Amino acid sequence: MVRLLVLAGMGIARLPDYMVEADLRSGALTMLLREHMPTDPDAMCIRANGT
Amino acid sequence: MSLTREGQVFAAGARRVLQAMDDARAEFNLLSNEPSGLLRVHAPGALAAWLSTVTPRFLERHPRMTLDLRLGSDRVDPIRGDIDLAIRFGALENSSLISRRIGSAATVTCASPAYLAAHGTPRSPADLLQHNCLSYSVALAQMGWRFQRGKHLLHGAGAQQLQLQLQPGRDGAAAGAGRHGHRAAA
Repeated sequence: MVRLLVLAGMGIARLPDYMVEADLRSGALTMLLREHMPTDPDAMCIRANGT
Repeated sequence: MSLTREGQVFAAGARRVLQAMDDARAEFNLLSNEPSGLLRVHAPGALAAWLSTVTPRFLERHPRMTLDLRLGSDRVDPIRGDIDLAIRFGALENSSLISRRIGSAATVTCASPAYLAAHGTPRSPADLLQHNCLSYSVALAQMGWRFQRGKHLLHGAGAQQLQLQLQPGRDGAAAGAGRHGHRAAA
């Protein structure tokens, strides 16, 4: 959904590279801030204690 | 000493009974060690594409499992919510939960050429404050966008005009995943 909004020109997004790889290649999207490395939160698997 | 004809018949029958018991025990152990039942998982909608690749493999590996997969941007608590596992981005705030890191998503900052033509191109993270920034993850939006340049950690996030809420089974399904109730035998 966010990808579609960015493609529609609604704003700037930070998206997983696999999601926009083809868009960047085709020129539909432009990569920004190339010299700045995004630092993202880790993906965590969470469960209740004792389950 | 040798068995009588009746003894030989009895011994052969006893061996068959013992073999059948061993087979039954092995089958029972196999079934009792194999995961089974319903697993309810909540994950960010941004992971729909990734989940659509790993879910078939999971179900093939565990044919006695049923997976109820829910996608959404809301934070569901595995203690209070009707789910068994949650996949989230970011740190754990509830100490009564157990978490395990399963990876990180390499992200890129991007926009369409039309947007950049209309609003200008940001040259630094600080410039993002002048732009409409869209997050695919609630955690990412709450933490703000962080960047690193050399040893310097930089923050930069702009105003968000839109809050996105994906409804499980509707938008999630449209994104290629959604709610899966699946048995491999089906």
